[in-house]
Amino acid sequence: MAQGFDTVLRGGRVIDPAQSINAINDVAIKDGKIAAVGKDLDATGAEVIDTTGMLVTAGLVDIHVHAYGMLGFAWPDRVGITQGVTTFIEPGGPGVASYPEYRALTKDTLITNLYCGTYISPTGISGIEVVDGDIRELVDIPIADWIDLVEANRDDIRYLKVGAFSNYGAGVVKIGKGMADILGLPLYIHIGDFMKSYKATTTPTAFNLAEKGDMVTHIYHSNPGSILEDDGRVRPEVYAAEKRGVLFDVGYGAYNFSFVTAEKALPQGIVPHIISSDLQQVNVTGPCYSLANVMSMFLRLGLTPEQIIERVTINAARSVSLEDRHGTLHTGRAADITVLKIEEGDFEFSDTQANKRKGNQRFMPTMVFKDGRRHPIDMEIAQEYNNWCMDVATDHVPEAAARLSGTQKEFIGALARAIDGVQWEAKEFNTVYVDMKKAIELHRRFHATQQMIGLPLKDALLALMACMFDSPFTYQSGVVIARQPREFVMERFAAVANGHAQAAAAAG
Amino acid sequence: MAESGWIVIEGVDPATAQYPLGVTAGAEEILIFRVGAKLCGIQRICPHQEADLEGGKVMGEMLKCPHHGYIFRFDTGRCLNFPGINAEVYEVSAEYEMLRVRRRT
Repeated sequence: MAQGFDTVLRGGRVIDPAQSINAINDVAIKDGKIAAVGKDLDATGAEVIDTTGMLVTAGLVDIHVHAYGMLGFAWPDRVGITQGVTTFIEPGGPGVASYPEYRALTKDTLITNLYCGTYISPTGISGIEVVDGDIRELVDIPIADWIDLVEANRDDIRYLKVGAFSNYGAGVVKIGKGMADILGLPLYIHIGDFMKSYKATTTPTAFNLAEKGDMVTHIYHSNPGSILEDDGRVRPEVYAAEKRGVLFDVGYGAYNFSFVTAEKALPQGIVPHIISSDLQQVNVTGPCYSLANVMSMFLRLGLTPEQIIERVTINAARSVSLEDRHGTLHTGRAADITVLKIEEGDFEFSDTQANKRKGNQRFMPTMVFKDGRRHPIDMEIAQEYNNWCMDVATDHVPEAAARLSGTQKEFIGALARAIDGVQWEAKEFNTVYVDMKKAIELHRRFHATQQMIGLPLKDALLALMACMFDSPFTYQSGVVIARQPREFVMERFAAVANGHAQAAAAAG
Repeated sequence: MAESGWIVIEGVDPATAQYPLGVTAGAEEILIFRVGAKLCGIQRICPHQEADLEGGKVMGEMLKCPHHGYIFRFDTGRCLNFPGINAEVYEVSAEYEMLRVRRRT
């Protein structure tokens, strides 16, 4: 009897570790949901797509993709759905102050399902030297605001992130653990100093503090604060944490994955529970490129395709309590499906330390479905310059500024007046240094002005970004202002606001 | 040094040299890359973590450090994916069968 499916993926190897399925099967989609997984499904009236020779899995879940903020992309879907990833988690772009900005600019604008891991500092991850173990980035921690934020957005906020690196001992990671307890969120801990050593190596404390369900990311990094002792043996705290139910995440990153560490730790039994990419501006043009590329490195490291797929589907979903929505092809779930080929050939993989490894197999996404609808795969387009190059348009006013509404230009004029009394130092746009106190003050004035003008937050943020960027980047408002020379900001705001005044005069 | 700021690199025929080419101009270690039809110079040691840029990948008018992937513009030296770090960059001339370099910044 005809089942009336909309689409049937025919004859692929379905790997769904959540249901212990690893066999040649068909997958049927109806009304955007998984309708059936089984052999020789009746495809009468349905579109049939041949997946012979391919792997058919639940849509890939990447718990560490910088979709928003200063490490983010102009078009985050290009590192999501377009690369076969149907769900990703923003790892720390928003903090308690910048969360509404993330929500307004990014959260519901993508095809890829986006959830949030908030960072413990108020603006979220907003700098490189700033997060470099400098406790001043925390500024202050408004606990009541945090409680209200998480209560109001519990569906979106899946973890609290903290960095285990410090010039001030292990206090930061302890504060993070305390806040995670208060908020009822898993703690997501970045281990590994930022390519240089700080006064305290807090990695052992991080493993000791972590409890069941907490996650440690960058598990195979090779910077100071490694999971390995100097003699190459895995630290005892790591085993103890795993025994308690702490989860280990790859977080390949920009300098956070070493083949050497992985090759020493794997034979000692330290296998990550989750594989994630940590895609960001710095690594999308290599050596990371995509989650699929990181998965391929784990083929080279000896994991089976089924083990790897488990770590980017159900394990990833379960780690952030999304297993009831994502990570499996269970009947009735949203039809988020990724189809992959394992290609044979001569491939070279690089870790973030420029160590190379040859391999003869790699994962290559070939099809992706979101809620039953097929979207194109393009593994290259994320690398395009204007997707990652957050180059401020210093020598011209971006075209988007000319398209702003009268109210948006009025807002920019009002913002210029509102921040006129704030002095800050920045020589040129940079991510190396920012005065966080000034950034927070600018953030506060941005929001006060937005409320005074009565402009929706999204429109206010788009107006600010249009003053700075040619591509639609997202950035924490106070931080992006504080990162640029004051003179440039005031001149640019005046130019954009006066564009409004001139247009109004011409019309009048 | 000529008054224009050009420094002649002795003993190199720009037409037959292999690029990227490492040269020394005064105290400065410079790498010269072929970028399309022209030659561009950049400091040899990455300003981020002091990696040798010799294995860097030319991407259009930019160079990507082989170690941490930071990308520098050949024309301004600005790092594009980690703004705030700048490399010294050099104009390169192959006129008159001479290799000459001149700091841009």
